[in-house]
Amino acid sequence: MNRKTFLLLSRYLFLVSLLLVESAFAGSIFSRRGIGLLRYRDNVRAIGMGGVGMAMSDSISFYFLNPASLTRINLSRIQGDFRYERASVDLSRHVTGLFSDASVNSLGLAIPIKAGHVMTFGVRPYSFSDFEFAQNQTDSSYSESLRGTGGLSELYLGFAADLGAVRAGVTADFYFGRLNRIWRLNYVSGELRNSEDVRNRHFTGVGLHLGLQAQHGKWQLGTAAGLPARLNVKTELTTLGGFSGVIDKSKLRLPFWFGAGLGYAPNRHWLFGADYRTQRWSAVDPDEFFGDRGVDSHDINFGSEVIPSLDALDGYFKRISYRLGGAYRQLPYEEPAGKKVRELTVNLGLGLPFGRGYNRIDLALEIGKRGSLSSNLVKENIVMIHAAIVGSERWFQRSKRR
Amino acid sequence: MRITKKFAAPLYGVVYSCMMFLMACNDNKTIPLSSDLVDRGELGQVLRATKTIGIDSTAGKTVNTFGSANLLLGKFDNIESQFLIRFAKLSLPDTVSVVAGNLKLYGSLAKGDGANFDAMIHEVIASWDSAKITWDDQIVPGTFFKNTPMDTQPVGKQIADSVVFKLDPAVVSSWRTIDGREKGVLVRSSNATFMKVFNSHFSVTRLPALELITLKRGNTKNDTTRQAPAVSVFIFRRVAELRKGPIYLGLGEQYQSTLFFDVAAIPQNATISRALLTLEVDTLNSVFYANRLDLQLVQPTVEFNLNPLRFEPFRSYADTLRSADVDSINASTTTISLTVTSAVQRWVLEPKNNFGLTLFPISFAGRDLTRATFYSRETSAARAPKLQIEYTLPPQ
Repeated sequence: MNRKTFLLLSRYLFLVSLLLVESAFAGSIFSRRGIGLLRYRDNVRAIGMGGVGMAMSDSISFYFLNPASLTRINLSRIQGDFRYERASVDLSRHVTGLFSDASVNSLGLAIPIKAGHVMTFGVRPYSFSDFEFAQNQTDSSYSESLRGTGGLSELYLGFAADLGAVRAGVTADFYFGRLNRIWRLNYVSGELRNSEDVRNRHFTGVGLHLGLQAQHGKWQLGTAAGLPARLNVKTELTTLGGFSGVIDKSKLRLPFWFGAGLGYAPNRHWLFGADYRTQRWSAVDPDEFFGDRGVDSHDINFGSEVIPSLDALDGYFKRISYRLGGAYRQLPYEEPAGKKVRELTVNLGLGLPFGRGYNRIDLALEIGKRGSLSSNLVKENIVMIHAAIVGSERWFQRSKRR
Repeated sequence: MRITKKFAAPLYGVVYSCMMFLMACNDNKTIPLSSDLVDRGELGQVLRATKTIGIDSTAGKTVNTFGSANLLLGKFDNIESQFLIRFAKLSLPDTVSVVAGNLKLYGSLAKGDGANFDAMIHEVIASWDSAKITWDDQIVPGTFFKNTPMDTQPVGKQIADSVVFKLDPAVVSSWRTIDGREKGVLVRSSNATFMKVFNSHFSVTRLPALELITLKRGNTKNDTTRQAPAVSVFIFRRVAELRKGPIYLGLGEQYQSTLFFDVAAIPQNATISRALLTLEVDTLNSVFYANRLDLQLVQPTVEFNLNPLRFEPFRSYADTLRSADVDSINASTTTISLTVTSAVQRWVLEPKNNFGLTLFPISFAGRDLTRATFYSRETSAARAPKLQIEYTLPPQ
């Protein structure tokens, strides 16, 4: 086996092994509401810059939320990313909890059809639910727990084109997934049969989002919007007693979202940016939202990136991308009723180039808090580590003769 | 430092190892359910219900007792009993004559308060099938057995008492032929005041014995040999009808009962944690011969007529029954509890398949005239069978 074959195999072996790992989500107490906690984060490079990416375009990694950003990709790219998340939950009266987990986050493929025209498809998380309450009965006759797991994912198929003055992109989204709610009762006495009631909500639906980008001198502009999507929801109940069946069929409307971003690159080394995104969750009927009242979400991101040297002959540490940013988010749920939940994070990131600069490993660290004891009665201190690997191949493109 | 392709694979390896390490670092500490964050509607309910019996029905029939370790003689609890014994063909050469024959019976129990009574032994003159015979089979003098007894002996109440009947040597001698072997003797009483229980040939110890005194031609001294019976079986009849109303469980009069509970009020998605069927024993009206009565509760899986006046539990067949629980009762038992969790779960899931529960006796090897009596909804509403159900309902 020559070195080239070995490298190719190791790269795809790595990406395939990501797929084989059972997908799991890190926990959050807020993920028990509605369809769970939404995954607004996209692209590890953007996360390292506080989530900024709406106006940015990159020739190596791709940013899902604004499909127009794909047009600079000139080699076929496979991108897989991984996330570790840890949430320390702090409740009033000195009650604490801890959720931590690690999982594959997304996998995508971008293929340039011709110069400035790129197709993409892949899968990424849309929301997740992972929490657990548990307690022993005071008379110790049984223990009881309530656990939520699962999430919604998006299977997407997109197309982007460079139209000269502007870059445009459109993506069709197929939503699917399952949210599980498991209530368990374990008796201490072996004479009593334990209970386990599992309620699964299955979601399916189709949506569309599109984006535009433009560059004017050192400034970059970007905007994207997602059209409302109607999801079919089927609720099944399965009990340890033997009951199994569909108990409800309903619809859920994912509301319209809109985002805009601004980037400023004073030279080829520095990049500054800021994004804003909002989604009208208040328009969702609480009955559709499983009894929870939605709140409009707001996402404000800002950050910067510096690459000390673009010269391939310079030292490696000079060619690493160093990123810094921060994010403020208002989550789409109230906790408790009437109290909005906010999330603040500080973000750090690195972009490690390899393979003559055609490929990159992106790393990002997020540290922050979600909720507050004074208004939400619960606070989560969150730490997230993201890692993405982007590989490249020359597919559907004719090699130049030397 | 330069990163070229030769460093790419190790770089993947380092990142991959870090990811695997982080995946292994899962650590969760759950939040207490009592916290204010839990909406009570998200939790299921733990509930308890007590159902009183809806329909109960008892049916009994007189059965053949072959295989029992007991031979009952006398009268008790309005039941009259007698028994039949026969022996294998006697293997005596023609040169040997029967001088005398004795039948020795060993007592094991006495039930009732009466005084000693006389037991008579008769020669049987008709053939009988040990596996089928009951009192109803024309057990009448003159046609089934000879009117005149071969011997009459007093029967005492002492448990260990034994009785020895003198047999007619000519009758015993006739058992050298096949014809004689099929008939044997009948032991009965006409003035019994209590029930005496003797060991049968199925008993483990102190088996009934035929003592033969023979003389070989040319000898002057008698020989004595002993022989156990080939077949012994008691037959009985009820002389006064059993009181209607209670739930009965019996062996000789094989009583079995069916109990029906309406659990339709429990939702179909409930999980039954435990269902206990409780029956109270009417000790005053129960009769225990043996130390205990083993019983089995089964769940019929096919439909039958729930009208208690027309119900016939013996129409249930073994392949339509699903075992629910087993238990034993004795003379001092006042209450029994049987676990019927699986049965109730099935009724809740499929209400149309609620065919109740049938209670069977299962001590056939020790068959006697034991009869357990339970309170029913007719005899005492407060003490009638109850079904206590603990169950959970899923979150709404």
